[in-house]
Amino acid sequence: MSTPDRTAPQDDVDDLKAADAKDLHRAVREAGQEELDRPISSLFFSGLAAGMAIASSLIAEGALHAALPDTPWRTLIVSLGYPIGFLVVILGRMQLFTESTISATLPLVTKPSGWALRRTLRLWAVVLGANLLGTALAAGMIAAGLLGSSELRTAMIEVSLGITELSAGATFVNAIPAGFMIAILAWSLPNARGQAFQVIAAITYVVAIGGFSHSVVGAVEAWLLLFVGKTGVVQTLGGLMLPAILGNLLGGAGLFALLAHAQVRGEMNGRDEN
Amino acid sequence: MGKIERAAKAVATADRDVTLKAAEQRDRPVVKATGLLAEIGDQPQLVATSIGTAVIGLIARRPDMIRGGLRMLAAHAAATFVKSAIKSSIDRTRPEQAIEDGKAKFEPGDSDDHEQTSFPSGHTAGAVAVARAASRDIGGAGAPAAVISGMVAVAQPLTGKHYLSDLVVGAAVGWISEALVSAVFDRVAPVIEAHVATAPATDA
Repeated sequence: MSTPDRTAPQDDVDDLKAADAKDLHRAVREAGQEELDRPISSLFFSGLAAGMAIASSLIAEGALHAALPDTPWRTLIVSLGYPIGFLVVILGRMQLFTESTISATLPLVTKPSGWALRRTLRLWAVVLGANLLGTALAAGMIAAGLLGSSELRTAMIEVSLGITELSAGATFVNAIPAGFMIAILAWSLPNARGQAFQVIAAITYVVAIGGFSHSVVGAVEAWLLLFVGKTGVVQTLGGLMLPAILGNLLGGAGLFALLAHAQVRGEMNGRDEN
Repeated sequence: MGKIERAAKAVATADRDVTLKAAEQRDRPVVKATGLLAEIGDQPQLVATSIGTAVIGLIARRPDMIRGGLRMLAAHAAATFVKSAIKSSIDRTRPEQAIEDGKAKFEPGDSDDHEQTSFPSGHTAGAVAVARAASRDIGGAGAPAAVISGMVAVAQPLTGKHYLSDLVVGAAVGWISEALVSAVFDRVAPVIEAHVATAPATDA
């Protein structure tokens, strides 16, 4: 007499379960480890592509801004364009600085070492540098009128001017929730499975309507304002970009990554270390 | 064996012997430092330099630097494409690896093993292409760019990464690629610049 096979149904049930925090930690950490191991040239070109591609957020926002009347709800509709760049970058598996704040931090806090710290700093420096170069290239093309009509260009400048309404300190504070939320996005994606599109769109839309400062999208806007003469070099680099980068880093690596790690640290006990 | 074959063999032998002799210095601190500096000729660094030049031009309102940066970027892309095509069809063991293994090959092949893609020098091709491009648009950039690209090339055999012939072919790839790109660039750039000139400098 044969024993009933219960393996297959249990596997089906397991497939339907959402991964728990420990599984997510492991998935994000392993993805982060792979990023840390990538050669500099791969990180650089991936980051450069991401910097250029993220400009599609501003292009979409500009197109919506140009097409809508000046009403109180205009921002809510214009912000629908904000997720476009993130969808392109994240689904295209390109390197975005704000995503790597959590993924590169988890391997470091799980097994702290000089090597891991150097690798993490290397990843951030290369990806951030490449992101900024890519955004500068895209912003330069927008400023020169090579991407879209003059109406679109004007609308993108108008949208970008929003970042100048905050002081450097306010930009830093405003960038912390942006970093935190993009880290949540990186944390949630392994569980999103077929719903990655909706998850990316929902979270980044909240970043947009919340008016939070994202360093890489903000860099496209900041470069554009600099190139068309709306801001100076010091204001652009020191008042707009740097505070947003530091705020994102604090929100993503400093807050979310540590919280995400803290909640599973006690359960790990070396069981899934490999 | 004909005269040409004998001459070719003599050149190949000299190429190998001189390179392997030079590569014996590769562990000296000064050579290691030179090799580190020569990494300016790697792809990310050259792309960053090219885009950075254009960005500085945009900030400083210097059309020559904007044009130069974009020309550098295009020339580098072309040189990289050509050298990659050659690398993917010819296998050549890098000098350092040849010294360690005591054997080397130089023949048609499609290996993507880094140690078997010595021919030609990509660093030299990229550095020469970017230097030539910079010298066309940016006043005063020619001499320093030539010195830097020369330093990048000279460091390759000393660090055991390339043979002398790799440098020669790499430099030729860079030079020709840049010339071809510039032939097109000089026709396209005025059209784009005319379009850019119609865009208002500051609006909104």
